Amino acid sequence: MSALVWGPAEHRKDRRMKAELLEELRVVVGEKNVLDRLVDLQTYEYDAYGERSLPSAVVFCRSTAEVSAVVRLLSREGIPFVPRGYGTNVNGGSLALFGGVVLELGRMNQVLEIDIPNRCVVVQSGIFNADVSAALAPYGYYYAPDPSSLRASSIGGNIAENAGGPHCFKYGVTTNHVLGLEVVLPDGEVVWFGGKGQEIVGLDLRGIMIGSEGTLGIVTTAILRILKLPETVKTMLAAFATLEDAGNVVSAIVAAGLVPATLELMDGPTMNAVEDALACGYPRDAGALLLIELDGLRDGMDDLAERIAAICSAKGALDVRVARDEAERATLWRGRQGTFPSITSLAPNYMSLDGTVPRTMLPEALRRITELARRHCLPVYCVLHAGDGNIHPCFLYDGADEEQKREAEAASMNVLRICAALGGTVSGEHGIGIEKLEAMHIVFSDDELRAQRFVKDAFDPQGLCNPGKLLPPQPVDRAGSVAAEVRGA
Amino acid sequence: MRSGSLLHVATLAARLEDLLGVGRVSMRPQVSIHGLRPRAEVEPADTQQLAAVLSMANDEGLGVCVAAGGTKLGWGNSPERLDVLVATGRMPAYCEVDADDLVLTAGASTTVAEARRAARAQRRVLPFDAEQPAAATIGGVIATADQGPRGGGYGGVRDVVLGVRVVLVDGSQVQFGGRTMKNVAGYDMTKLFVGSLGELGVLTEATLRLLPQPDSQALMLLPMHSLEQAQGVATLILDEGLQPFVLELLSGQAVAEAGPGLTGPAGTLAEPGWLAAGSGIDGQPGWLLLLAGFWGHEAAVDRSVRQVRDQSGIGEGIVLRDEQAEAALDALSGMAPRVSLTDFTVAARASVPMSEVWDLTEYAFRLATAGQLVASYRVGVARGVLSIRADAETALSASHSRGSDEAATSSVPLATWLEKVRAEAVKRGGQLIVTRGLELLGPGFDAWGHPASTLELMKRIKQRFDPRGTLNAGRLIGAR
Repeated sequence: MSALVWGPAEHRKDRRMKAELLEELRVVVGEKNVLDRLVDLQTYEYDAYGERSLPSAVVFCRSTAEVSAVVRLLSREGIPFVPRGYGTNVNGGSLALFGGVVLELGRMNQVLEIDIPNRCVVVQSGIFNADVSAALAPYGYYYAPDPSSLRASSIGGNIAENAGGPHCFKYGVTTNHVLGLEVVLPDGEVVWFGGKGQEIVGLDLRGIMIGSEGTLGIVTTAILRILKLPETVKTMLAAFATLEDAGNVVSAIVAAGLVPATLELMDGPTMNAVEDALACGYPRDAGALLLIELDGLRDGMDDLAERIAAICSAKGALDVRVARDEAERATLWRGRQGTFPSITSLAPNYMSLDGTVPRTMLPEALRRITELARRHCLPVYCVLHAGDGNIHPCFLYDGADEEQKREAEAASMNVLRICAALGGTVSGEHGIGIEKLEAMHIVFSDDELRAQRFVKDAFDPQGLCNPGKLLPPQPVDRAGSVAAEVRGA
Repeated sequence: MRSGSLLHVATLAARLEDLLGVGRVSMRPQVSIHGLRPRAEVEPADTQQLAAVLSMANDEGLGVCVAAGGTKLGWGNSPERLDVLVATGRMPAYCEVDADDLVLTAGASTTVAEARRAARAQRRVLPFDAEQPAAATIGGVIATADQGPRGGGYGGVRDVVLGVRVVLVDGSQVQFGGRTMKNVAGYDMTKLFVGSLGELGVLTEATLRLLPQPDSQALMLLPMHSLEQAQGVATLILDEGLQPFVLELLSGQAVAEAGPGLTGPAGTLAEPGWLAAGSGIDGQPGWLLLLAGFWGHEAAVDRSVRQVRDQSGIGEGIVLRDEQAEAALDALSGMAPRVSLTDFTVAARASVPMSEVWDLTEYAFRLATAGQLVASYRVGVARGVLSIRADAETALSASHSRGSDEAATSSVPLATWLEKVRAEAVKRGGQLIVTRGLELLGPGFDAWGHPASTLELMKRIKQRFDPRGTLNAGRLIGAR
């Protein structure tokens, strides 16, 4: 079975696994590390996206060798498999779409080596993102990518999604911080892409692996670049009358050649939702809020902060204030990190997006999204990694109301179209998974999708590794011709 | 000449002229790759013509290589076959800077120097620091992922390229990535093309991340007595969190190769006595020069310079500021025409975990000295990169004087030495690639030295993108 002609129907017929295979899996990982009772499997039938799909079995792995042995067995039997950390995926990427085996990697959560002279840390992929920086703190170092889920998501998941976070504006996303990966390929072979050195010889397999959403193999160990904790951090809050004013300031700060560590933006409704839930001292009356953080050497920092404050004031800020101490700084950030929980408790369901536009297009994108929400009669809450042009509009709706659900889905697709039309893209950090398969056609031509299938097929000719994600299904009438092209090669 | 096609030379010429028009096809190519000369050289006018040539070549089973500025023809292994050389020099060279969005979009045949100038005119920095930027093109730099000393602050080429336009071997035109730092729609295909040496497709355009021009920059030129001293000072700079954007150690000969541009307008480095104290590592009137560059807010730059001076106890050194610092770094990458590159120059680059680069350098130098080989050394401290340049002619005469009966076309001592340095680099978790003069090292010397386990996967990817092995076949992903 080729990945190119994969069809959803193939594995739906019977999700139960052969007793002999379950027995073989138990020999590899131990009796209690293979789950196949319905009640156990139901825990693994969903992730943070909300759709459900029941796996055939869940296998807990504790080492690369176990992952490799399990994958070898599944490859031999032609059974699909999905790597899983803590299920925080918001695009449905952790679902066992066609049944098969979920490889649970949460027990591979160790720091294997802290290597200060080489400015890197070696970790197992199941470790929480926040635990990496926690382990490095005593040495005065940290791991820069900081998705809001950092206390709940694994490094393996961050790598699979090429996760971002507020500090990415200055420091880059996950892919800019991964030096090497130990990967179990879909046939069970264990390989290393990259290492502790910075240069890669040959094709950048490490680069293509990052952000591949678990469809090319399973990352078991990662070597991450680490940075020295900044000497000083200065956090500022600026309030504006409108979202557009705040968006203009973001552009002005960047245009002035300033590079804050973060430029986070939220709209008035979001700010109030956060205030209701967490009381962070945000200015309730304002229409938008910018959270700006500077870091680096202390010399010159005050001057930079003043320059930014001056830009804010010149562009109509209602208020600019600097966090006086670490406690105030932590409070300001608690609000930002608690944004989603604060909003999503307001309605039975929500649909959150992560489209990205060139940052000069932010004011226009925000204007269009606000207008769009009005047209669809949906409340919208916007929070943005503004420095990166990464917009998270969140539509609230009641999933029990079919019409509202349809409106929310339609509005979401329209947001993605707006982002693409403004020169951006449909996903900045959440990934495609199953959620945005349709949206792939907005940004990629058939030839561009075909080239991406080349990659999938080279890594996973059997099409067993997290099937049905990231790449939209091939139109049936084209499948034959493309498959023939590859075979004729 | 190796060719995969039976197409007669006159027929080939006619087919190419049909596609491109007269005046764009030469059947007497001047360019060769590792001594291999193509049957035809073509200069497409635009992407459409390029696509037409690729598609025809692919259908006819012709081998195609691509050349732009010609500064990186020495990279990689010999092509398995070479019928048509596509010279991109007449493709549209354009460069659009969007200062507010911090991006630049350029035609692949735009030179790095042009693109840097365009960015600089709007107070932005293009974070490419390729060798010979006046000739090297954006496409060539991406195809080789070649980054220079300023990469310490810029990051690698992979970190800079946000999007690419590529013509695939069947002539289809595709585009990946975009204009934003964050983009996780589909596979990160852009990464796959960076450093792929044109094996998967031909780049026609790239969108690159820009940095704001810093308020202030300073370049410290610090003479060192020994590798140990240099390591001490460099470690201090890194441990103090000063974030140098350049931290590079040069042997005396490497300084000489960079020419007078590096040493500043006053030529202070040549003053008698200033450098006399050093012991050197390359047998030249011996000394080492550590370059430490800082940029950012003026107060932060001043503080970094002061702290390095005070804590390292190395005295004044020379500090170049702003324009002067920029000029010196340009000289280092060979902005000015250089005299030091000859047909006998062999260049190699080892990359190891950063702390290993010191021992590797020491090992390479000790071995070279024992074998009477003369080479220049550059150590990218924060990048863990050791760049070596040697003259095969010198090495040849050394081998002859010892009565070697090897053919005079290859330098056995040099090849043996580089093999040993490569083995040492691999032992230390890195690798060594040859970027110039591969043919001088004798047959069988591999330019890359891939780990076998990933080579298989690379071949599978190559096979799907270019099933007939039309594009640059064997140069990066070998048959061996």
